Amino acid sequence: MDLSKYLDLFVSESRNHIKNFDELIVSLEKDDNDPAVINELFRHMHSLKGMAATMQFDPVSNLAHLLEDLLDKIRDNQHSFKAETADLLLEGNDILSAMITSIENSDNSQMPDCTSLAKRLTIAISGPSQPARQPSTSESPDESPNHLFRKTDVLKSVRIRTETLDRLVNITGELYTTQHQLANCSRKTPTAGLLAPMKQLSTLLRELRDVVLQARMLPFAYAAERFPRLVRDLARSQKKEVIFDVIGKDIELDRGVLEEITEPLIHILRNAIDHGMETPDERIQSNKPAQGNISISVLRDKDHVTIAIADDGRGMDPKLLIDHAVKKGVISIDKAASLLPQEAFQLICTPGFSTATEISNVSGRGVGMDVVNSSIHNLGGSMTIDSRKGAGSIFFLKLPISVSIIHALLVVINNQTVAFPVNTIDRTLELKQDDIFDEGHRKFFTMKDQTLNLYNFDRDKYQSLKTPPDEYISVVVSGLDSNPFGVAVDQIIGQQEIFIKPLGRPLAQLRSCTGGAVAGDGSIIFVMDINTLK
Amino acid sequence: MGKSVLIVDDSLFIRNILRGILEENSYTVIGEAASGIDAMKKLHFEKPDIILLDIILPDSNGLDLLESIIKTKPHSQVVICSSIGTEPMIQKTLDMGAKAFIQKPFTPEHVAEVLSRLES
Repeated sequence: MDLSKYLDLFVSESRNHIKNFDELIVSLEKDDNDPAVINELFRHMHSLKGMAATMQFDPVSNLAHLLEDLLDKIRDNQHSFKAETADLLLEGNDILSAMITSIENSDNSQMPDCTSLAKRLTIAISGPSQPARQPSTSESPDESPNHLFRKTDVLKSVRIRTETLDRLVNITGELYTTQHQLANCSRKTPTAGLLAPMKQLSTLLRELRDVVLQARMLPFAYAAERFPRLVRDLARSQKKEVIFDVIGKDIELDRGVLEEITEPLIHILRNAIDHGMETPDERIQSNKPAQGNISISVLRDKDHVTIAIADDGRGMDPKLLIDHAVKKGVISIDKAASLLPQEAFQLICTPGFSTATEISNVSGRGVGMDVVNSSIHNLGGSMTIDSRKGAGSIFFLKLPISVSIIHALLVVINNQTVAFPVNTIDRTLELKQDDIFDEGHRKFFTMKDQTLNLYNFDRDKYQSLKTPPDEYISVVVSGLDSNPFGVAVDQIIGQQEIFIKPLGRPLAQLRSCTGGAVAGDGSIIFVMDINTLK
Repeated sequence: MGKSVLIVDDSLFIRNILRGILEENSYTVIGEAASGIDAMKKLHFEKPDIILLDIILPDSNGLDLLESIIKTKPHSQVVICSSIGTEPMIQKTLDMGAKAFIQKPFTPEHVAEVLSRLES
């Protein structure tokens, strides 16, 4: 097979991995203990290695392999990440970059020699092992010389009141705020010798957070145990036949998240049976098996889980939804004309929209989809819907694993710092005025051959997005898995762990604000739901 | 028409190469997915005979996705295509219900051979 036609793609995708790798190493230097970053680095090298091997570029795959091995050691705590490690990884990345250039120019004489680096990497990989991070929580306490527990203390677990766990989370969260304040002071008045303990504090805090949050985790089964019975009873009461499955029951979520999503999940299930699922006769007429299928699948990722609720019922017709929304005055005729099918499905989450043509004992109960949607947004999650007429619907709930202490992206808008939960952001980029084009009232830009809507955080300013042609506009991109869009902001500050507190009245009524956190300088950072800025 | 295939891999490069190999061997590529969510969406509405699945995906754990596919899409045969080809990992995916494991980097011949060995 002729592989040369894939060369351009290989070069561009490799460059992407190399660029991201570079940025991640630098961010890791600031915070040498973030396992998510180490995993991400590993993934980049791993992908690059696989691609190069497929193209038979052995020098690239060999070097990527060595870097991957070193990252593996760091990940397993067998090698500590120091400035020298970063140097090695960056040097390797630079050589990879030069190799790609030589491949791109088809000039083997440019192919850099990495013998010396390879030797140093091999030494680092096989060298004296040195634990990098603090021992993990699973280790037995008597390994710590400072805390000799009584020998009689043999019980492996104790019952703890949930209030105690909540209190532990609160204290940990407050410690984060205090840490930000300390960091702020030390930036203003640099004090000798403060850097090392600050770094240690950050490491210990992250560990404390992990332990405390882990203690609050419960398997999804805890919420799902009553679903099979509920689905069965509902289906029977409507003379429908449903096979119901829950997949990924063992995946754990924060107790608070689980409690908050149980009702919304029940509502989506009720809708699936009540409106989505056909009777056995109808199904047979549409050439489907008499028994319908409904499933809930839980999938996990770094700091979030996705819950997919799928049914193979009658599905939704985007045109009917749009007509209904116009009739109900939920959207204007103009807006209706420009809606994509994808966006039409989201209409069912708009307040005032209900497709139930008759009030059955099922659809008349419980909360509407608008309430479902806002409960998910309040958790810092998001919901996307896809459906096909005749084939069924699928709902995706993307939820943070924990709600109170989250990883957030801080941005500045009109001199106000606000935070987006990192799990709701796909990427950030910088655009020039030339990259943005108008169509009617809407603004767009392109990313990877896709045209995306660009919204401005500040609606007034949106009317006149006047940036000098040579100045960059920072953009936060979200919704890549379904309905991608960008939001223009004034400045991107970076990522930080923040402790979110619920807002009191009347701020709690703001749909786009899901909470607040205290910044290092004592100011309030509002946590925003990016999906409400569309 | 040959068997239908859905390719799930976050690398456009790998997806293109696999598409090339499949089309040369008379398979019909009915779609590509770059993430776990994308894959679930496509699988909800399409019924491919074969799913070529990478287990390192940007948005979800590939093993969780494999479990979901095996349980909810019994008509599709899943072939894992990954570079984490350690013996325990291969065995784990096969135990979970995958039909075969293609180790990355692969040769076109190997991909064609593994797919031809699947039960029809």
